[in-house]
Amino acid sequence: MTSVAPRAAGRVRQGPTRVGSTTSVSWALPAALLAPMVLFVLGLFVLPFVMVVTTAFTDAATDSWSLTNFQEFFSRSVGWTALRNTLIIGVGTTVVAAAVAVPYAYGMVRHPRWRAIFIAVLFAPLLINGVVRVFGYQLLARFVDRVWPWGDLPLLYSLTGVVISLVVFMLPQMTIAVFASLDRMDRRLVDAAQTLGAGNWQVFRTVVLPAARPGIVAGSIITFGASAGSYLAPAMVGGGRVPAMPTLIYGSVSGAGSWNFGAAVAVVLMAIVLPLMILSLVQSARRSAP
Amino acid sequence: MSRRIPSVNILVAIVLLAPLAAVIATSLNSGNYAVFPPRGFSLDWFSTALGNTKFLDALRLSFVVAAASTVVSIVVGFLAAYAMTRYEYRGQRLSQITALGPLTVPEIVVGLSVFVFVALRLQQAPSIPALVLGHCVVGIPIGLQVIVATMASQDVALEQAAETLGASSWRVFRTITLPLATPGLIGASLLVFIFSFDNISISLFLMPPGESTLPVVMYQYLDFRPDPSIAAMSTLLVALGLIVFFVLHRIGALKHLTGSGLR
Repeated sequence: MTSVAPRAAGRVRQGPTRVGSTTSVSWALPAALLAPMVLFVLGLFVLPFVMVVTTAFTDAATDSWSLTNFQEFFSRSVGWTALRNTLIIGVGTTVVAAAVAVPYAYGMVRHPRWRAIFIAVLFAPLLINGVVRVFGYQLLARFVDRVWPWGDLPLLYSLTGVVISLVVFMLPQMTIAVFASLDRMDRRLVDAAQTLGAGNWQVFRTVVLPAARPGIVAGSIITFGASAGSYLAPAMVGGGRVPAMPTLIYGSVSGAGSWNFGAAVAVVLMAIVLPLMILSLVQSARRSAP
Repeated sequence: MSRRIPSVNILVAIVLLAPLAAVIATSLNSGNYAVFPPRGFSLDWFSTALGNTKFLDALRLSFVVAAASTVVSIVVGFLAAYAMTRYEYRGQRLSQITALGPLTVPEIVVGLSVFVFVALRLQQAPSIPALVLGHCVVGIPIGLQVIVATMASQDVALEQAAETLGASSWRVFRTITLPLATPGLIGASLLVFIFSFDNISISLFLMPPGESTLPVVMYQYLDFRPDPSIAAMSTLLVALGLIVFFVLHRIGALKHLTGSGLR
């Protein structure tokens, strides 16, 4: 980016400029370009969610402000179970996925010749329907369970199975995020550490892990939100035996309970996911700060 | 550094690809049961799947919705991306954060929100336009990210040079900006299309009564009584996904997907 005139210290408070020049232009054109996107976000995302919040605080029977929906959620055992399950699903999937993604991404970094294949292995499942991927997991899980000679494996119809399946589904996204930051690591640091006598584990701990950290954080935020909010995994892999907040939400709309209850569950779910959302937005804002 | 591929990479590759292989294998069952490993060998279930009117209707609906969502998302996303990469303005970071907001929210909440909005504020039953708009809420950020990544990495000097040489703004756009942005636009279009086509969490809420998108139909079918025709249908979708993958690879759009641009 070239700049013709020297910038004043601190923020330059002038009108919009085209990239590469310092001449102010009218607000009209950038505003018009951004308007459709802003309208979508405000009108079809923020406003509807505000309506969900209002609905959550409305008693379905009396149509007045009340906390009954939340009371219902927190007083029924299925509510607590769903909350607990969703938290375990979110945290468990994220931790396991990160633990697998970092070595995989590091392997990609160390073997550039195979990188294209490794990336292909990651991207291909992402382009395939979630229902198909879950179906494939179910087929494999039944097969593995059948041939496993040492007792039962909790791959299906259990919370463990749901977490395992979600780890498989989220691995690509987590690994891509970790790889993106690991790729920017200076390889010579690894060589330098080894020259200075560091063992493999020490190199990993002091050079690789810190380099991977931004990617791990970014990937974890995506993975937590996606796994805690996943409907398919608890519904299909859990087979109805693993209540989770997304299944409660959809159930409330398809007949089992009122929308108000579902809205309340959605508000609680957002309360869980929201801190991470804010963290991710703050992170990306900080990263693009001057 | 060892020359051997690390075992973790091999294991992960197997774990990621095995479910797809299992689905493809299961579609070759000759009996009535969708089992893995398959018993017998038969391609009949493919013709059964393609003859199933419920599947075909759902396939048509999914295709129409995905096409519409893609067009809207790419247009809106391209306009916004142009503003974000070719202008500097106060509140730029805020506009970027706003644009990406819907991506950080679980889709099930997006689905519920748009459903509540359509049902309570607009007082209408879910319809195809509502479904398209619901998909666009998440589709726009998806497309925007890729387009911004492409356009931000281009040198504005090319456009500036054209302007210096006397080209009008429209001519600069038509002959330089647009051609350079095209690989990113194609990549973004494919990603949004696949997202919309495969989507279930939002579609569950917004399907018009009596109609279903393909993922929802398949999900209900699996719940009800899975026979190999669902595996055959799934295999066709796997093939579709792989084709899209190769196209993305050929046009070089994949490298923009590894978290550059706004993130």
